[in-house]
Order: sequence, then C-alpha cells, then structure tokens
Amino acid sequence: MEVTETLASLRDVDDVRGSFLLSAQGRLVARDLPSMFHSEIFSEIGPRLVRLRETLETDGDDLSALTLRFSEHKLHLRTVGELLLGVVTSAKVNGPALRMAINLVARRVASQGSDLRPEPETAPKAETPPPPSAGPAHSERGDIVFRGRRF
Amino acid sequence: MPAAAKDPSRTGSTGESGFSANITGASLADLVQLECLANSTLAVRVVSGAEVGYLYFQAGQIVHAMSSDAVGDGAALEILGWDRGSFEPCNAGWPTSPTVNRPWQALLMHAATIRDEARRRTVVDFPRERTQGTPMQKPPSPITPPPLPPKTSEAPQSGTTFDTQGIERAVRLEADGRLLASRGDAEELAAITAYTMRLALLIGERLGMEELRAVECVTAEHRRLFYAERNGNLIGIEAPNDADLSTLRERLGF
Repeated sequence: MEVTETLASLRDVDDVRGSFLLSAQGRLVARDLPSMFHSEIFSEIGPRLVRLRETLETDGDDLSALTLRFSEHKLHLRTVGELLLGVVTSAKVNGPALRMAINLVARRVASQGSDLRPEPETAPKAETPPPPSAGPAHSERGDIVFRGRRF
Repeated sequence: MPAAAKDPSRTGSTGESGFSANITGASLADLVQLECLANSTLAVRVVSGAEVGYLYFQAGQIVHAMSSDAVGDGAALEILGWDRGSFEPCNAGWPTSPTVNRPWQALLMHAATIRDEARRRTVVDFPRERTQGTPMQKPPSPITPPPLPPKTSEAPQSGTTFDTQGIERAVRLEADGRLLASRGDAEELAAITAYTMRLALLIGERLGMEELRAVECVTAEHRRLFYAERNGNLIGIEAPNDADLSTLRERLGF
C-alpha cells in the first residue's frame, strides 16, 4: 500500500482534515492534505517541527507524541522511528478513535520505513517550462493556468 | 483605499493581460486559493442562485467580504460555504479598511468545518435504543447548531492554580522570558517552555491556524504541558506519565 493511501485512512475518523509525514530532516515524505496546504509551506514548518522535537528531547527522553492545540484545530504529531507523522484535525476530534487510527498508521509507516524517501524539492516556479499541452483547464497541481498565471 | 487597488491594471479589469478562463467543476475554495497563491489584488463577485457576495483580495489575502447579510469574516464564511455558482472579477468599490482579519487558509478550513457539520446534521441518527453499550462520544444532534467552543479551552487566567500533585517541575515566565515563579529545577524547563511556545506559534501561523492555546508533549517518562495565560505569561509543567493532569488537560482543551 502506498504511504499516501496509508495516510488517507486517517480520514475515516471524523474531523481529521489531513496528514503528512516528515523525514528526520523535516523534509516532506508524503502528504494527504487539502490543497490549501501547499507543499512549499513544509520547507518552513518541517525544520521547525524537527527543532521542536529536538527541544523536547533535550533531556534524552524520547518524544512519543506531541499536540499543538489551537482555538479551532489541533496538530497531532507522532514519532515513527526518525520520521514524524502529523495529523491536522478540528479541536473536537474523537481522541480515542484518533489515537487508534494513528497507532495503526504509525505501524504501517514503520513497516515501510526503509522505502520512504522525501519528495523532491519543488522547482522554482519561474524556471518551470510550460508543459506542451498546458491550457486553461487543469489536470494536476503544477499544470494550472488561471488568469494568466501558472500554478 | 489601498494604493494597489487604485491601479486598474491590478484589479481584474478586462484590460488585464493573460488568459481568461471559464472553468467548470472547480470548487470556490479552489478559485480562492488560486487568487491567494497568485498574490492577487482584485475584487470578485460570487453569485450562487439568488445570492450575491463579494470577496476582496489584496496581495493574496482576503481583506474584505460582503454578502447580503454580513460583512467581514462572517460574510467570507457564508460565501465560502456556497457550493455552486460563478466567480468573476469585478470593479466593486474598495473598503476604506479591511474587515477580514483571518488568514485565507484559516477561512477555508473554517468553512470546510462548517460544511462538514452541516452535512453531519443531515445524517439520520442511528436509533440508539437498539444499540448495545455506551457510545464513546455523544452523537451530534441533528437539529441543534454546533456547540460553541467550551469555556474549558480558554486560556487560564493569570495566577490560576491547579491540583499540583505529581508535578515535578513548573515555571511561569513573562512573555519576554523573565522567570516569575518556579518549582523544581526550572532553568532547563524555562528554556524549553519559551522555545516550544515560540516554535508552535510560528508553525501554527504558517499553517493558517488560529490562536495557539497550548502544547502537550508525551515522552516515555514524562508529560509536559505548555500554555499562555490571558496576560501573556507562559506556563510550563512537567509531571511523570502516571500523574493525574486531567483537570488541567481538560481545561486546556486536550
């Protein structure tokens, strides 16, 4: 099973908005998030999440779970070996159901661990040549032209 | 009026260069996202059936919204909740000051939450008298509106005390990092508290989240809670995993 499919299984739990997997260096390995979370934001938050993990492990006590509680949402983080699994939920998510779903996903991800590689860095937009068939309609991210701009 | 909005070449007028597109099947969230990621400055008219609303983008942020019933965040959420209609640039007049303060990502997420809840309320409730055992969570009512955030998730007031049984270390810091009070070996916990809250704030901002309420961390041996009081003071608490912090956890919304 693809790791993205594994992550998608978390959305069986109500109020889960999506999830992502980061490498030990904070690079994005896989994501199952609404498109509003652009992959480029992970170049900033990935290293910060790694620093957060390191901060909380300064006394040598290995981090197992971390939750950032915002007024309407939560970001749940679980260590899977060196990887970091992140799950975005609304604040009123069913905690026990989510814990079980995360446990299962963490187990699956751990079993795929050595095969997982970070996604390649996104090339700067200005240097991306237009695909030959690009038109106003869109097929997938990176091929969208709208109001004269490419995304 | 924003200076950028005075320039007609940036306001979505028909003289703008580039392609015009007629896209069907896109969600309003997709179109809003395109404008935001393109750092657009323009006004857009959204028509859905008999409803008309306006979204104003400035440098890729939604700065103003109007519907027939509301202005500002409420109007933006109402418009983003519409599931069909048209979306086109227009030359509507600009507001003198912004009325929408939330980041666009937060608006889209909140709109998605409202849609989810509305959809859930339309689901027929399973007849509970036929089920066995106790449900893990009270099912949502099919009639009542979604509950307001519980008071327990609000930031505790300054000086609030909790049952401290089992707490090994605790610190209270001023927003600038000055140590106000401590229990146990506080130096390291003070540094961890200050840096953790700062990183969590930055991560939340980049994800378009709302106000940071608290952070909880579980290690093999300890549980730590970090949060900001209403006056901005930071609290860091460390206890063994088997300590009962349930009152505080509940109060912080965990």
